[in-house]
Amino acid sequence: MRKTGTQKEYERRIDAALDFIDRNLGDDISLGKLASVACFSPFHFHRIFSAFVGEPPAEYVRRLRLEKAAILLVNDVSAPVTQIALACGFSTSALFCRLFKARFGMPPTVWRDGGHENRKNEQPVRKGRKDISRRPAYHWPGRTNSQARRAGMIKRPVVRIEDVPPLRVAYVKHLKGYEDSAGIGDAFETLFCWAGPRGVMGPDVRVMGMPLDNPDITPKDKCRYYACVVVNDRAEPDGRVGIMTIRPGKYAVGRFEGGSAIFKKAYAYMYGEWLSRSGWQPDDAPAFESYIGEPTGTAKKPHFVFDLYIPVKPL
Amino acid sequence: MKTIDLKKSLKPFYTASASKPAIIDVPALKTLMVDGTGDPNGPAFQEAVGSLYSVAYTLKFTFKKEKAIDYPVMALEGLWCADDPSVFVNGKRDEWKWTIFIVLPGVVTKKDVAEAVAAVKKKAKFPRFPEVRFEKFAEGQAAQVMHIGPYAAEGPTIERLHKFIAAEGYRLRGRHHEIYFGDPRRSAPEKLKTLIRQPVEPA
Repeated sequence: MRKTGTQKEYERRIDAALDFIDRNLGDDISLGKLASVACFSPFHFHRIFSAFVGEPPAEYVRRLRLEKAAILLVNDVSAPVTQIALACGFSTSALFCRLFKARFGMPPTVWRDGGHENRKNEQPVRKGRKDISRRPAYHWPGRTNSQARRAGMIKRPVVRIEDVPPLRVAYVKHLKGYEDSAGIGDAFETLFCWAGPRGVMGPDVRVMGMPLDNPDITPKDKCRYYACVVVNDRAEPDGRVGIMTIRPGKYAVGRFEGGSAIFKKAYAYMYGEWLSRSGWQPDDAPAFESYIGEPTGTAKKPHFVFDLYIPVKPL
Repeated sequence: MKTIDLKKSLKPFYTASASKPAIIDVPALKTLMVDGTGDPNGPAFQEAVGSLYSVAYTLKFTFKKEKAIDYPVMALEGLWCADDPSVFVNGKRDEWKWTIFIVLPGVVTKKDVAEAVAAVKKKAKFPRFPEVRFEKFAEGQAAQVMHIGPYAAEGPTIERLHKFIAAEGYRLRGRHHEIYFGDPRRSAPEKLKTLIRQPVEPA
């Protein structure tokens, strides 16, 4: 089904607002500013944004800021809490601490001192009710990644450090989580339909996926994923297709292969095990997956081969 | 979504032994073609490859989106000839004449191709756009062998294929045909796979 021109224009404008939020998370983002970026009046913008994104703009911005702060607290242990609060766009550290506690159930300092390990994206539980999510019988709480690896669950990949040049990519956003494979497939289809007639596709095409949120922190159905393809300088944005340059610099790169479950394992390995003994720390930029060939296997049981790129800086 | 598994249905024409040449009979297939002259490392050839793939992928994703039919974009193939065949030996690449093509599934029509070409011309902004055409290619009886290694080292493999053709009681006809499986920008030269095919007729 072709979308109407109006729908496309709405998507383009909301996209512009989402990009603006992404790039200005640390600064003041007012509803008026967002609305003007999207070329809507603030009143209409609020409703349209909520309808397209699934939550009101202010809530969306606050959630992203808190999630970014939660990651920075753990990744950048030397940075004072106040500095992180300000860098993530909170006007005072008191406000930040209150909102953080409301969202994650503990103050930022407790989160940093290991509290994040225990939480792992349990959705807020209402007072007076016990955690009703059952754990599978085979759950092995003390299991570490190295034990899992010895048990043959994760193959230890060879990780290399690669200097990535400023790659220009065209991308289509998917906002409904990494498990929504139909939605991710749709984003890629939109991207490829754009890329085909523009001479981007060929045997040497570089197709990438960029997950922007940590599913242990962001609600699973709200994780953002950008479907990307590398383009030349002539490419211009159009409709749902945006153009950006990926952060250049050092990345730790590991090759992974497997079914849909491999992505989670790959991230767990790179962030959980490899980084901690590498002499590097994660840099504040999104990781990305660079796919090697199209997925093989069937639509229900796909098989992926990809290089996982983690942005790093010296410890 | 309906899937047309061309790689499976056309498998006998895209696999070959590297050690033993064989005689096969190739059916008529729909293709996208671009013609040109000159060095395959030169700009004309690269532009031809660019416009061919742009149309091929535009068609693929149009079919997927609008007709719910999914099919793979097949390997790049090339037909080679020259007014004076000695230019292939003495390296006068400017005189090499080629037609590069990609095989399409039977469901694609001439009209689909014309629409895809128009879309590419409008959107790609190529400085030059070598003309892509729709053509049915009936190769018929042919001998083939797999060459593993760099393109420049094809000589002995081609010679071996020609000797096989003569020994089996055939003679050469038509244009020398190559199918490129590896991507020279990514694969190591010694691992590049190229299917070499020569149409034949009884001697």
